Amino acid sequence: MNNILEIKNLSKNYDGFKLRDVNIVLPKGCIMGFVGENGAGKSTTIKLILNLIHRDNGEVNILGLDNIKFDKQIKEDVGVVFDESNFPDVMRATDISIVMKNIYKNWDDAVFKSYLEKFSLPHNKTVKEYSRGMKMKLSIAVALSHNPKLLILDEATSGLDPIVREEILDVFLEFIQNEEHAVFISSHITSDLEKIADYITFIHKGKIMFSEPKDNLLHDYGILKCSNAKFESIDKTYVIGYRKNQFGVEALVKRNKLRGDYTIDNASIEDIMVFRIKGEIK
Amino acid sequence: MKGLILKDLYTLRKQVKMMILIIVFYSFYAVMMKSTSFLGAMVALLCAMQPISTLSYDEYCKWDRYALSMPVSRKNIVLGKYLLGVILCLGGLVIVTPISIVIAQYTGEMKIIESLIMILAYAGIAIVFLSVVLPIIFKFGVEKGRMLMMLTIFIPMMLGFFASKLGLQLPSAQTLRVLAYASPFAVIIIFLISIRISIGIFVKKEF
Repeated sequence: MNNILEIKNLSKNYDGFKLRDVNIVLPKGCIMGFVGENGAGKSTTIKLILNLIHRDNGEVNILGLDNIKFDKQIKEDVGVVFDESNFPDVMRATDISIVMKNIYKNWDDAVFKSYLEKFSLPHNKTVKEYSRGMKMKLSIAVALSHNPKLLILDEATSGLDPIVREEILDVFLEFIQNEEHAVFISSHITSDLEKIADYITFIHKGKIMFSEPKDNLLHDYGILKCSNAKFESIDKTYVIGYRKNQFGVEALVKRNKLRGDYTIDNASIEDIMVFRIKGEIK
Repeated sequence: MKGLILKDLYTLRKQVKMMILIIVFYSFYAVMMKSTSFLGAMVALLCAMQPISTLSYDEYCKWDRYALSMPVSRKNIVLGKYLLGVILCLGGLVIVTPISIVIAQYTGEMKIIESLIMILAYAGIAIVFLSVVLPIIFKFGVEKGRMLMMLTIFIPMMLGFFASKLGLQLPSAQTLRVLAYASPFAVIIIFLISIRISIGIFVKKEF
């Protein structure tokens, strides 16, 4: 079993929103970035993975086990961080440690203390007195201190400054050094994912647009800049999307398919997202 | 479940300090007024309100979805709240009972046995109150639940008021005695039914 997370044909219907046939495979030892605009279905997917909402169709397997049938067993091996701290703000780090010791079988106090040290989080202050960055670091410390195999993060780095984000991303990279581990991270901040992710999965209006190795994406796609006239002469099957402005055309293209003398820049994940959603396609 | 209850107790730490102050205050009051009934009622009310206050904290910080991402079942989240209520009521009894005995002994307001029965009755009322309110809150959330909670207090009061207006005769001593003996069982049955209903609601909930 090489995949830590397998999602097959997952569907969920709400009034006005549908998650349709989501398929995702996350191998061991990898970080998968989950991107998409607000309301695209990222949080819904994560809630379905965690069995917080009822699925209408499909399957979710974590560590080879069905996420509903083996709910409790699976969650011993999963660490979760949501977009905000979920601790009542009168609690202290030391209280949290005692609570978690009674929830997780594998809770490791020494590991938790070392993370508190590492993130310079005070033991005896209440969560209320922590800054937003400190709260997130506390949640991440909790998520990492019961020897999890899979980390699931829902917008865990949004709203944090670049220094704190960098620090947190380093922790994820360290976590992934163990080949049995994997990280599933949703974020709007695509530059963060560009730094650490092995796979990028892009969801749009409840549908997965692609789920591919990041290097393939960055290798395959490019941003072409040229004049209107030159753009007209290009085979449009290699153009994913384009934008016209007063100086000419900017287009997301499949760079290796395009033969000839063109100026093609590297495309970022953000470019790929924006052009696929907003760009006009012929 | 132990972890969940510990978390609630940590959340209530400040309120527990408040409660101790209130108990001290009302103990003095009870001695001055030579009456323990107010002390018992206040403590019962405080104990019954605390699980609701933890639910309000939980709602505010979205604790439930977080707890469910841990190896914690939905059933245990519900049971934890009920158990918290029982633990607090027992705690209240442990504190109030000796105080009442001492006061009853010195003031002679009523017999010790009578004051003990009164305290137990208050505890019973607290448990019934929780049994009514918790399913409502699990279903509608603390904010909307609060409104409905007022109704659950208000309606029996109105009924009592009308009953007295209509001049209904009090039941005979015999029936009252039977009712008194049956009441602990009634409390337990209401409590168990309430747990079943709450679990039924919570299992279906989406977060």
